[in-house]
Amino acid sequence: MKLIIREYLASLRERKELDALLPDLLSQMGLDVFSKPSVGGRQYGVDIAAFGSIDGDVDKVYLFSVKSGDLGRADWNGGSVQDLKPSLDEILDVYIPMHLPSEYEDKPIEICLCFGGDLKESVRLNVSAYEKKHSTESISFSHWNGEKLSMYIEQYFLREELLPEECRPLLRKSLALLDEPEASYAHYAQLIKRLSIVDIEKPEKTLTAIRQMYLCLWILYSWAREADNLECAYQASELTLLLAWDTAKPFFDKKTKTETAIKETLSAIQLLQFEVNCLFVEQKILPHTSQLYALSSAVKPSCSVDVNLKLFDLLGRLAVTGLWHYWYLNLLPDNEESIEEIKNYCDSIEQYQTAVKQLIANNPILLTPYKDDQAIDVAIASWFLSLEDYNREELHAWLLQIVRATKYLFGTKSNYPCNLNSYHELIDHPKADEGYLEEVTKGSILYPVIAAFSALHNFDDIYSIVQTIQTKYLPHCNFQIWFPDEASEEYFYNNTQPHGATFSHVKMDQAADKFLDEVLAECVHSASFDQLSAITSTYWPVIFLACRHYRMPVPMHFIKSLFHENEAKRASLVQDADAQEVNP
Amino acid sequence: MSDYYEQLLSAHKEDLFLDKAYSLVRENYDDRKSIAESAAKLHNDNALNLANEFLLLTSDSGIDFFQTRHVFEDALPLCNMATNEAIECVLHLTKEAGNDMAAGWCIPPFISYCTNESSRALEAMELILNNNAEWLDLLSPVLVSGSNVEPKAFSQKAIELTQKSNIEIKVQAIHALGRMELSNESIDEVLSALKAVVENDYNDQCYSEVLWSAYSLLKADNSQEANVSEVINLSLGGLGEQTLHAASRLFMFEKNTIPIDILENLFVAFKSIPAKNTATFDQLDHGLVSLLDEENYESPFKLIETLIVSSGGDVKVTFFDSFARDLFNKKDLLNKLITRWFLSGETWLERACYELIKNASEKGVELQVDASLLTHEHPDIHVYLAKKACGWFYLKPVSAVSFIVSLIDHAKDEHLPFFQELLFHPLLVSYSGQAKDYLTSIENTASAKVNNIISLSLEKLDHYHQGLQDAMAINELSPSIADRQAYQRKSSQEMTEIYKEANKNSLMSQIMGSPSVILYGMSSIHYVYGADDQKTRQVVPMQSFSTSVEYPSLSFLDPHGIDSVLRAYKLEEKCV
Repeated sequence: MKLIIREYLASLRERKELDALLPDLLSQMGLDVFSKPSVGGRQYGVDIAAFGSIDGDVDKVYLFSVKSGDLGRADWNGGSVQDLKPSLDEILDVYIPMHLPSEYEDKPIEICLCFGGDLKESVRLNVSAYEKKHSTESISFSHWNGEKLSMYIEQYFLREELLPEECRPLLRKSLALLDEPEASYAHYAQLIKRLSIVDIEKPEKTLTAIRQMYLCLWILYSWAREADNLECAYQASELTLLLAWDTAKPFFDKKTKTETAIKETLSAIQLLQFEVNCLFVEQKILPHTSQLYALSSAVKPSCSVDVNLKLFDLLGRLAVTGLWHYWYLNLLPDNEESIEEIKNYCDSIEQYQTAVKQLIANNPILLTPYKDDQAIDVAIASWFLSLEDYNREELHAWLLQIVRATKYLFGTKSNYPCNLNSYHELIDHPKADEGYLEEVTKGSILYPVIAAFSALHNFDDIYSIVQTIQTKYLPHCNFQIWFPDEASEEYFYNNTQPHGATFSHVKMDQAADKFLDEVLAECVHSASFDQLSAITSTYWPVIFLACRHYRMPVPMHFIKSLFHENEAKRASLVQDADAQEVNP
Repeated sequence: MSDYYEQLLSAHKEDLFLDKAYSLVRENYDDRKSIAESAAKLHNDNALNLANEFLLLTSDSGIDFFQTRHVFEDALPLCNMATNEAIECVLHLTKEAGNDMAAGWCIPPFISYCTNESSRALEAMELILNNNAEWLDLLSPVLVSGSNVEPKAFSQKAIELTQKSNIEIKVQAIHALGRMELSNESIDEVLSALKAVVENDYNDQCYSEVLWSAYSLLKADNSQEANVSEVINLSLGGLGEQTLHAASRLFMFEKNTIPIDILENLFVAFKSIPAKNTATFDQLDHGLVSLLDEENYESPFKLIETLIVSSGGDVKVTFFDSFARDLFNKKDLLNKLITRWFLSGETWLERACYELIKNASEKGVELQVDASLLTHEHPDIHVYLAKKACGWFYLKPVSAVSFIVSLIDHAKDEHLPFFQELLFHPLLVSYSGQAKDYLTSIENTASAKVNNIISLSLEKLDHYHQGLQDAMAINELSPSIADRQAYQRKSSQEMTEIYKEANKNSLMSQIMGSPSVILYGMSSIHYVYGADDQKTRQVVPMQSFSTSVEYPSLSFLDPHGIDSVLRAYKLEEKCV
């Protein structure tokens, strides 16, 4: 286990990785962390500062200066302000005399040289000489290398009684099978599910569990990055966030130190999940969305089913990652200081929306959903594109092509959307047997989703084709719309039980606006959506994430929010027009 | 001879006549005439009744049926056998032969037998007409043999019989009239009789016999062309299936001598052959072979076109496989036919273009547009033809690409970007092996205009491949091992089924029987046993063979898009 942790530590980068792990480790060790890494860089050479006792030693102030990987000559004093020696000089010359909180001024100080790897021989003498020169009665030096960090992580994060023996092989297997993501994820999911089972009456145990989840995800992510295969890490990050959310949500309203730490760790998991998503999408996918068939071809398919399943999955991932950017944008205050950041996020959102459109244009398999539950990916992408008016034309073209192609597939009895989910059934689909079509198209969420977006955007031509599909090919099919109910809060994030209520036998024979009214009215009746913790705490992308990960329909309440936004825009336009009439 | 005589007699006494006859023929095949003469002499000497002996010969006697029957065939003309016995025995031996091609070989000796004695034919005719209906099968030979002795009397007799109400008798009589050696005067009468037959009640079987007999008369007297043509025309007018079959057979055997008027009438009639009559089409196909040349293609092309279109596609161009093979040796005519059928605007003919080339070779044959057919067409016809070639020949990339490239030199400049795009997508994108190889191979010989388009298309292909190559290293997108295995299982099952099905009709299986499976090694050892139990060891080395198929990549990447595009190309209506 220690080797795994060492490997993981050695692969961590300094910014937001090794220095993000350390505060949690120190807190878990019982120290009081009074200074954490800030975005702008280290504070006078100090990345992290903590106070307390380690292993029964006297209480000390621990000042950490963090470097990633091995510490060599270039990192010690290679001429950069980020090097370790200038940082230590700053600690000695500025931080200790001028910046140390007054309550710790008379306490012994230990300056900790922290690096994920080892101290290289080439620099060992220099470091020793430096330490000898600057050691005093109250100031000492220590090395927190990979070995020591691993020891503490194993001792404090993964203690036998906290990370049961049966969990360790799961992590090991998950890491060993990273090249077979499905198997790797299966082991990891077992591990995270076990860790998420905690007694909520004991916040400390929840805090430890959630920190362990965070650490396990980190370890998996760092290994996956090394193996150049993020597939398992991607899915694992989604599951970890969802289960961590489920574990942490009872403590959202409480403000004690432990409960605050729980929320902070959850926030760290969310950040890590976002990082994994962004790395996957930005490094692996975005460079290729503009190339014709490049991503379809990269699947190395045995048949078109392979391309279809992977590309719709990719579409959902791309859109969800874009939604997180949109969410971050909305967190920013609307003031002068945030202008740069707002611009960056706006650019990112536009980049993601362009990528979604390119992905569709260059991979036409996205015009033909094979599985009805690909409605989920269609809904997420449509919602994401609906956020900006300038995507309207492409959204219309895409949905129109989907319904036209679907009609064509029914007409030619070729891969029409079906309720089959297993791969071996899908590669045999469709069969010519009598009654087969009715059997595999018993229910659908796809057409109501497309109809809802069509009604929302006044895409009458699309809505009309959906009506034709229902009357001509699917009169037997139960068109349905899912809504969250009272049980959804309990099961949305862990998926341990079915939940929600389904509005069944949706009739498409009415006009589009009537259909939309009916859907919106049902949203009002299904008020449980507004009570979901992800909604009340404004972390609404978590709902999209849960829908994508657990293959649950996207609640129509999101369409309702778009409808209200559209209404507001329309009202504003009318107001502007009226004003112009008064003052031409 | 006396030796055979004695041996046969001795065997007869022991009820082993047929066995002896067979053993004698087998051991003295070159002297089988003498054996037959001995048998005839034994009959004529009343030492035995040859008819009675051969009535015992059956196809499951345990001796070679046909070799033994030869003795009877050679002996019959020499025998003083009672006519009824001769008839009975000939019919028995013919029936026992079943569907064998040699079943009717007893008939010529029977004709000789009847001819040898002037009264026999008349007697036989009386017996046949007054006796068992099964004997009617010999009426025609009897009439022919009678005409050999008394032509006038027997032709008249046959003419009379054509007026009988019994169809079997009519058919036999008409059949006989076509095989008699008649005087010119009689031919006039016979033609009148045949005309009367087709002018009266319709019967397909009679009409088919009339057709053959009338043509036989033309061969005997070519001055009768007009009359014969009239009779044939009348018989074809019924459009009966048997008549059409007879007509196709006549065409197959006589195509080089049939007068043009009659040939044209036959072609008109052939257009009515029902699609189910594959045997008739086989004969027609054999007739069409070698009829085709640079000047003489219109009628065969027209005939096949009419058959395909009027049958609504039920008649396939694959019915004419010999014709197609001939066409592949005459590339200009093949190009002409493909161009002509694409220009026809008839979907059935366009489909026939694909059926014509689909089995020619894996990647397709090289084709070129016949520009002489484009003279009076719409200026945008090149685009239309290119779409047709792409739509119908998509699975045969070399055919599609070569035909499209051949259009470029004739196309308007404004259409060139279309050609470039069409070559790139879907053809080069789908077949970056075969299509690219073909384009590269003609780069040096093509015109500057064509070369330019090829260069631009290949450049775009390189850029496209670079895009694919860059994305190839995304490990995250690979399907799971479980999915891969599921697909391999399905694929393997399908291949096994296909292999089994192919083996059923395999020539190798038919010749060699069930295959033996060698589990290990690269050669098989076996022993050949000779005389005196001498055995020779033989080692047969095995050869490995392999084949590869380029599967169009768009079938994975955009199966429904490409399907829809190809369908649209196929169904596009001609610009006028």
